[in-house]
Amino acid sequence: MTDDERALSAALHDMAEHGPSGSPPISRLLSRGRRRRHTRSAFACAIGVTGAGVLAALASAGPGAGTSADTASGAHGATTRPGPVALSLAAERTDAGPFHFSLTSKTPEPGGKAGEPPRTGTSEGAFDPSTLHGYTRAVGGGVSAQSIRIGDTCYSQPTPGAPWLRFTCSTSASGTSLASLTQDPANALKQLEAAGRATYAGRTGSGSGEVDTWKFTFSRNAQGSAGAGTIQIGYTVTGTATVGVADGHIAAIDYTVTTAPSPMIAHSVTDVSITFSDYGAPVRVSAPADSIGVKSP
Amino acid sequence: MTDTEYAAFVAANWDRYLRLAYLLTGSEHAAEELLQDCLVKLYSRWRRVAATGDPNAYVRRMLANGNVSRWRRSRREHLVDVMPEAAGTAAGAGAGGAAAGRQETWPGEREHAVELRRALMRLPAGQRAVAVLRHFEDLSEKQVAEVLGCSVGTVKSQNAKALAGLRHHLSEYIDEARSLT
Repeated sequence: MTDDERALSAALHDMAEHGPSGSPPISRLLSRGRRRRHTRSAFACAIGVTGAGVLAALASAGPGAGTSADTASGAHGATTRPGPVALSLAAERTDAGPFHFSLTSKTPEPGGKAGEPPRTGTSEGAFDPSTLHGYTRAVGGGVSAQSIRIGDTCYSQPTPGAPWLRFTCSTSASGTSLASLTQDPANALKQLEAAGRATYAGRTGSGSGEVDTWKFTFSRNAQGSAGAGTIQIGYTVTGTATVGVADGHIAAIDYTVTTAPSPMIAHSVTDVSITFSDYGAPVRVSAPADSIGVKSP
Repeated sequence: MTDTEYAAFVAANWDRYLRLAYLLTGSEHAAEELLQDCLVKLYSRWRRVAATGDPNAYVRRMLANGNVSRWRRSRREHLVDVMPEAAGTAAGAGAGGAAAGRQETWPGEREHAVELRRALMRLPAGQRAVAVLRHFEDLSEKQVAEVLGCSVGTVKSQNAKALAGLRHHLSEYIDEARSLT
């Protein structure tokens, strides 16, 4: 340590010594913390269950479900072009091999006022359903976290530089979490019953960029955790899913979640966009060198 | 039980982190606001953070990164030489300090403290965080790198730049402080 550094250290300690002090507002912190925890739980539940609900909606749009505009009008039979790719088939194909994805969500700031810009969060990841290897990296919206899955073992790093936490991957949440939408869509389809209707909106693009678009909308009530208790969350989902005509894989899912106001959560609108890509590309992950074992969250 | 542990942690560390936040923000009001925001976030993640066995590292990281984010959102700090409360503290050092039960350690220290605060606030938030974590929290370069999520090389260069900046803005104060060590 140089003389300058020693002098700076002494000066900082002196400045801090004469800085602010006082009693911590523990009651206020606990109160704000509980509200924040409830809000986070409610949003996580709303978005997560919504994700699963979207897949359930997609399942319901399989052969014989939903209404194809082409089929309904009879136009399909008058052309040699193949009919729309069923969403349930696309979801199964998506789950048949490794895939990569990126996700963007725009959610209201917890406790934010009307008119304030939403918090934008982005994440990217990959998953191989055959090996249960995958990862996600979330950045933005005040969040910077990573997670890795290797078989039934999950690793999580809440913030950069923080110790990695190791725990057994939750199985109970697999069908109702947002992760299930990106990590195991077929399983989510199996676990959830059909939650809505989807209608075929047409085909756009050309060549390898040609996609079928499905629109869906449904309303549900979900139960979310709030501290030691549970809360009911009502929400409506509207969105679109696009399926690549050439490969039959889901290309993207965009949806908006509108939650109904309740005692625990204000009316809010959340936009989520998920883009799937690089089907078949290997997913390589390795366990963190050091990790701390904890109970499953 | 979790609330009790959290409350005990906050009670034991409030002053320490309030002062750290004060050095990072340069303002008593902003320091308390930043610390409260961080502790509210800590509450919502308490179970996980406590499981790591080192909530202090988490709080340090949130304070440092939170202040950098705050600084990026509003660079008005650069336009303000001395916070109003700082000016007030300097002007009323004798009576104010005595009334608060604080003891002066050398004549004119309040003026120097204002100079130091002003010099710190002229540093970019990243350099300020490195300087404060390194020389107030007495963290090693590796520990600072872990807190800020950057390389040790970055910490070294940011520390050197911070020292150069402070030396430039604060040469008179540094000389006097050096004579006291």
